[in-house]
Amino acid sequence: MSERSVILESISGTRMSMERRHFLKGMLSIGALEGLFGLSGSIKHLGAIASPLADDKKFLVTVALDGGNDHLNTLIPWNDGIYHDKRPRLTVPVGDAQLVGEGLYLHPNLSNLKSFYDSGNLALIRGVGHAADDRSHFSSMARWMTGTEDLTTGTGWLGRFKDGSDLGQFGTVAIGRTGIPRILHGPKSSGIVLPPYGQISLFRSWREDGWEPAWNALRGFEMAQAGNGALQSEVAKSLRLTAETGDLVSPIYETEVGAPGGFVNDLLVAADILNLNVGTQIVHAGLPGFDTHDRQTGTHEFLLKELDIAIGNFFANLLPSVRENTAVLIFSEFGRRVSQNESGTDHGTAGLVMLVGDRVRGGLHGVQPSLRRLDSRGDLRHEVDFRSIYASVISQWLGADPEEILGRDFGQLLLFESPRAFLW
Amino acid sequence: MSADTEVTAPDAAHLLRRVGYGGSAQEIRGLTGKTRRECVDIVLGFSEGDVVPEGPDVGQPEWVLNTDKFTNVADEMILWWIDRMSTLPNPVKAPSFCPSRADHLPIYERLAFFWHDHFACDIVEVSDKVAMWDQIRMFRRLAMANFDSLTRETAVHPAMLVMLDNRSNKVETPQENFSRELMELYTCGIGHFSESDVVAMTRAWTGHLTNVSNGDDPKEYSDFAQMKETYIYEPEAHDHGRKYLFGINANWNGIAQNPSERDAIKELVLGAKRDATSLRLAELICKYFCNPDPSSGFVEDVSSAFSDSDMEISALVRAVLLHDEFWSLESRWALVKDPVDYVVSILKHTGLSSHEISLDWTRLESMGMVPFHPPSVAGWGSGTDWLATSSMAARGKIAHELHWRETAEKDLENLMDLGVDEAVEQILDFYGMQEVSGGTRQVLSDWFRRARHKPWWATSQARTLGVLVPEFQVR
Repeated sequence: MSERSVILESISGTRMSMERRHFLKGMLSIGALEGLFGLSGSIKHLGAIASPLADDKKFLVTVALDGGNDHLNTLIPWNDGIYHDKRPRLTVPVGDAQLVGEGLYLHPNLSNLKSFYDSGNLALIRGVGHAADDRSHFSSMARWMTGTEDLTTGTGWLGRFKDGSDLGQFGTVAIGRTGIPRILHGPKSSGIVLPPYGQISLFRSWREDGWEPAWNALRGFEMAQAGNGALQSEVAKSLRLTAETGDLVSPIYETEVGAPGGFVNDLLVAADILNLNVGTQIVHAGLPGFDTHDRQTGTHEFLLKELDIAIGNFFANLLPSVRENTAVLIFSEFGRRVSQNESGTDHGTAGLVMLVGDRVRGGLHGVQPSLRRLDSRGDLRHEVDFRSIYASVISQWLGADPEEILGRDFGQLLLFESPRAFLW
Repeated sequence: MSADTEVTAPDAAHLLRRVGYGGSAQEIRGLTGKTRRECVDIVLGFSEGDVVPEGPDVGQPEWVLNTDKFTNVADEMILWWIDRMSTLPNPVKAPSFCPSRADHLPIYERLAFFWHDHFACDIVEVSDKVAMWDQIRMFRRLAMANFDSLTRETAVHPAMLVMLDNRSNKVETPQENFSRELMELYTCGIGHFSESDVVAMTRAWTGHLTNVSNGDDPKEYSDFAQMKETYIYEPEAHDHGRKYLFGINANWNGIAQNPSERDAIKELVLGAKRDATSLRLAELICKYFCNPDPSSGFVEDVSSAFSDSDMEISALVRAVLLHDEFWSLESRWALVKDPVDYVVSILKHTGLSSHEISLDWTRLESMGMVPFHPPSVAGWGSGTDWLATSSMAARGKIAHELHWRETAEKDLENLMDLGVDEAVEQILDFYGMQEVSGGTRQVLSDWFRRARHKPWWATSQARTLGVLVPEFQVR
């Protein structure tokens, strides 16, 4: 695919270009870092802990739309009269430019995703859910993160993937401020969390003036088994990992000027860490705000626009060799109710999953949930079990055994061109 | 009775770290040798059987709230609270508008923050700084009151009515957000109510609105800090029909307005869902005060005490603090300091204020915790959530802020004149650290031997490194 320069329209409406990110193309190896920052003593150690991936590895970015993304207002059944009857004040006006087929239209603010669809690179998987219908944010998101329905494990499906792989400690990365999201928790290992902005390298600019001993002390607590209490080893390990991670990823945070902010930033960091080639295969990011009980219209369209700009910029900023091997899976813990309340919708059932990437088999997947055959509460019936999507990704993209990770066979959808097909 | 066990100095230090933000040497001495029961009476401020006092009312300081820019006001509110936490129970440094010495018990701040996390409302969503201030003020006042009273006041506080949209919940357009979370998050928890209960509870809460959602124009709030919206109950917007809630067919109302109506909150806290609510709150409080994985026996004991008292929060807290599991070795140092705890510890030991370490919204956000701004309706995370690389790096930045600060009363300026062991002791003592591991001493010793080659930087590093040792991250 040819290079394209994407002109960003930031959330605040100003326009800026993305060339500033392209300098990172030069930052591909630990050796480059060493030369640039002249901290040969410490960086040599880092070379041992960060190992680039083999060329055939496929990258996966998972995006959780937190709160419950509205299926019906993302992929809009504009021609269905019931849609208009059930939510008269929430319908989204669409036109030919948004049409994807079967009388369905993508939300107008998803213009980048529509371009992907038109190029055959966006899979829209409809009516996705599970049999348990408790409509709780927490247990529903836990199901999606663990890849189980009965929540018998606290580990994430990608955490279990990592534990069965040869990935190192940078293998999985979350973009955020606090705890590793459950999706990346494994029985043995977890992952790294990177903030969306703000240099996290500790004492860097002071080290040449003598702060090296302090930085080394942070790294020394783990070996010395320093600390107390039940969490002693985790605390000590965290100090070491933080000191080391900060330096390793510092090129990502070198240019703060013009950072667009919000979720767009999160996915730019995701692109940067994949480009940096330090052993990261999986990245997770979350976009909150989808729990639109109230004043849905303004909120939802803003969030979809933010998502769309972020996805567009993410792909535009990947190195070509990374881009052709990257897929982004976008999901939410449930959809919204079919009928509206005063100005929004309450927790619902089946949701829409999107999968985007150069090697994705684009188009409409799953079965369009019927607005006539609803469940006992008048809400959408799901047609696709969410775990069949995970099985498809695990098998066809990541090249692993889905039954080992998910517990049993959930079937698969054909979601990738020339799938790797672990057991097909 | 284990409540009559005498308390050692490490025991006393542990208690003071858990009910407050740590104790001075003098405070620890003051508790050592007393029984557990006596110590708990002292830190709570009253004995079992006494009338439970209300928590301190901090008032509504115009100097904090009367600022033009929203972000500056929010920062000031946060920093005020953090400074309060770090200066209790030292009345000499207390804010001038809390004159009563008896009110300076840090347990009220710990509990106010617990309730803020439990009934999580976000200043950005609520968009009314005065309402948020008032809500925390209410949590502090009712911190150890009856849980029914606390839940009831919280449900109809304007911050909550806005946050979970019950101000839009009317008979003609029911809105489920608050009703669901009332059961799932605030009381009995998931598994104890059905979807049809959500429908019935939603109908029960119709009509509990704000003056704005009922048609008034929003108030432009004055310089003297009135809430933008106020609670009103509008009978015409309420669904007066009978509803099946928890299998009981009655004329349910969220808060009963007359004897013919059945009160939903009372049913959740004291009625049909009492056991589930009691067990759930007991587990949350055990985790907050004791350890991240409390035993089922511990939780059940605490839950029984809570329920037997007819859901008095004071009984709940007292049951935790007097339980053997609270005092056990497994519970020592078992909690990771959250970002606010971390900063408060630093301020307590250095005597600095939050402004003096350039603390603000952004720096707290980088650590993952901005008071008044929880990340979701479920509040904040805990424990190992604070140990992730992003959050920990942000602590490092805060620590670094200390490197050039001299504190008023003591400092580390003569560190380079000392021997290795003395220097390490001085650093640990500077930050009031107790029960320090051999591993940390060894790392600090190694550090000192290297750092003294560049003495100009050594003292700066000492001030920073001291709050980054493993022991300083836990309590």
